[in-house]
Amino acid sequence: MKKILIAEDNRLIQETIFRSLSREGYNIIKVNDGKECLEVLEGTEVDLIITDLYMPNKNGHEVISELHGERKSKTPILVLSASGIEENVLKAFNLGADDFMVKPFSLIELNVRVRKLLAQKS
Amino acid sequence: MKYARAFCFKLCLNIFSLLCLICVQFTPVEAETSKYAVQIAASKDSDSLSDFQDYYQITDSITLFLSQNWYLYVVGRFKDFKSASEYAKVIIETSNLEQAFPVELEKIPGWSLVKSKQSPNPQTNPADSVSIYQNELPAEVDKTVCDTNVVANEKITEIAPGTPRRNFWLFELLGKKYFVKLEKQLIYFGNNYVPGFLQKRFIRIIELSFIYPIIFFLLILVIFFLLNIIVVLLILYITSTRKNYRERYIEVFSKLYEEALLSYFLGESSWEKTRIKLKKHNKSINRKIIISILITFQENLKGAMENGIPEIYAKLGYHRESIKLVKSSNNYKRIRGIKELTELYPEKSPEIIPDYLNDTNDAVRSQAQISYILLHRDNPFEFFRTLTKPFTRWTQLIAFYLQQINKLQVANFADYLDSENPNVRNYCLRMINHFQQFENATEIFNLLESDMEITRFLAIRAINNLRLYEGKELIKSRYATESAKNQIEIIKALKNIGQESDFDFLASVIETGSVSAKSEACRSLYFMSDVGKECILRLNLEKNMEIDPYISHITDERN
Repeated sequence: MKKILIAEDNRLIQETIFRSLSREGYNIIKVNDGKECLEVLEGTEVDLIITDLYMPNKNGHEVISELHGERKSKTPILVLSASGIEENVLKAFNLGADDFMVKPFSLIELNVRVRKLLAQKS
Repeated sequence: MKYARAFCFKLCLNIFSLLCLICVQFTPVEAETSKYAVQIAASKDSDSLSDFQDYYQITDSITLFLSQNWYLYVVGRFKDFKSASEYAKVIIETSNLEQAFPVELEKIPGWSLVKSKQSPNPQTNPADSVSIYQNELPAEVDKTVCDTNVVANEKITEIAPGTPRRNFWLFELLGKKYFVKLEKQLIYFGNNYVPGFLQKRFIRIIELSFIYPIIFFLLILVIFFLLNIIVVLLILYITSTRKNYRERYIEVFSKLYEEALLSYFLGESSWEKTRIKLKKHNKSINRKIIISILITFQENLKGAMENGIPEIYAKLGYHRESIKLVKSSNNYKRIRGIKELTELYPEKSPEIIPDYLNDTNDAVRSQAQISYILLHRDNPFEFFRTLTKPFTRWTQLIAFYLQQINKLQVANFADYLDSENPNVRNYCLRMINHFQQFENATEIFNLLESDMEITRFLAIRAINNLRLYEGKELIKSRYATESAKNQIEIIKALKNIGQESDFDFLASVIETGSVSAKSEACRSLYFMSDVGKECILRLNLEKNMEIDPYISHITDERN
């Protein structure tokens, strides 16, 4: 069973994504901020990371930077953010994000992109 | 009821018996057979007995004796010591006296003289309750010889000489009787309830406060402040408790509603079941919770859920409440109503929102304008045509931000440059600048004639940024009459749209202008072209303009 980590500070959206992906048969780990995300990833290996950009403690850009920079992680990262400003999108991709979705997002589209990223990783 | 009546009857009977007993036991006997009396006070000076009686609330007749330079105040006549002792207790309770004790009459000098005279009966003639020795003493009394037999070694109640009277204006106004009683009660409280180590001080303070008004008022002030603090702490406690309860309530219902609505949106639950789970949804606070959840969904999710959210909103009847809110006299409620309608009722809200675009309240108007932009994505700024009230800087910033985030249709801002609203004109100039809309240069040039300095400034800037060369002569011709800020902007524009023909103009500014103007003119000339650079260096050498510092400044990379 594929494991997905969701880093999202909005409890309701976190729960929505969790419920939607759980129904697809994924094993989901939920965290509330960037720092917690990195701590969990130290001890657990996941198949995909879905992260928001603006979170408390460490933001999405810092998380991506640390994962791809220091830890040299190859886990695919999907960024899910309300900020669709070009600058933020480009920065996320430059740091190593594999995909970017702007809020408001469709759950169906999210499922499709998750499936694709997991297939690419496999 | 039966038992209550019986109890009341018994109580009345007991009280009557007691009164009879008191009357029988404590009715002073006739003077001739008396052996004992009750001493109630002693004084070095003989005060007016009527004042004494008033002050201590004594209705008995008082006999005044002199013993060893002390005036002894004595009441009653008793056959035995026991009766006198019991009466002493009674008189303490029924008056303001602190102490009273039995004395043997035979031992009091002057008693024999009193005994030989007929004493007035205090019960029959209260007016004669004052002793015959009030103001004069019989000559036979030897003032130096006396041995008052104080039974039971009780202390003599002393009225110190020169004690000021407790008669300041407040006492007179509210009644001495009340304050005398109050003092007695406070002293009683001090004697019985205050801890031993504080007792003396407490009683002393009480006594002083009833003598000196300022102490009395200070004590009142202290009590008032303490009460104030207690009330404040109580209010804080109640407020805190209520706040905690409210937060807990919101947390519980938020989880409940989130679960219910999420199940519905994910197709796990039908509407009927969801409706049942949305308990108390008509309550005001619960309504706020549900609306908050729906707005969160609306802002973050789209697709199949996008239509479902307004549907739930309408099914719950919340749109009626939102429309009511919009019509409220409370500005905060109106803003809330406008926001709710914008987010959750997009079908009908375009008909309602325009009424508030020119609202007198800044916040309501701002929200209405932002809502309009969100609801009219194809033509978000059409409301500029009818806008008569200000379009504030803050709203302008939000509008710009929304445009970027939502990728709204970019309006042709030149269409609104002829607006009479200066905020609209200025915002449009900024947007023309940002979106590089140079198609309608004529409208921009017209604004150079505006009365407002900021509008002219933005027009000059637009000419500069959009490289509208045809506007160069216009702005140069306006240089002399413009403000300092706009002059700088004109000089800056020449850096981008200037030519060799403008060198003389810039040279004259370098010669005669202010420091800022000189600096900008040097910059414009230096960076206009290579020819301009040569020109300024030549000017420096030939005309000795002393512009080396300016050239160093403009060529410094940090600038």
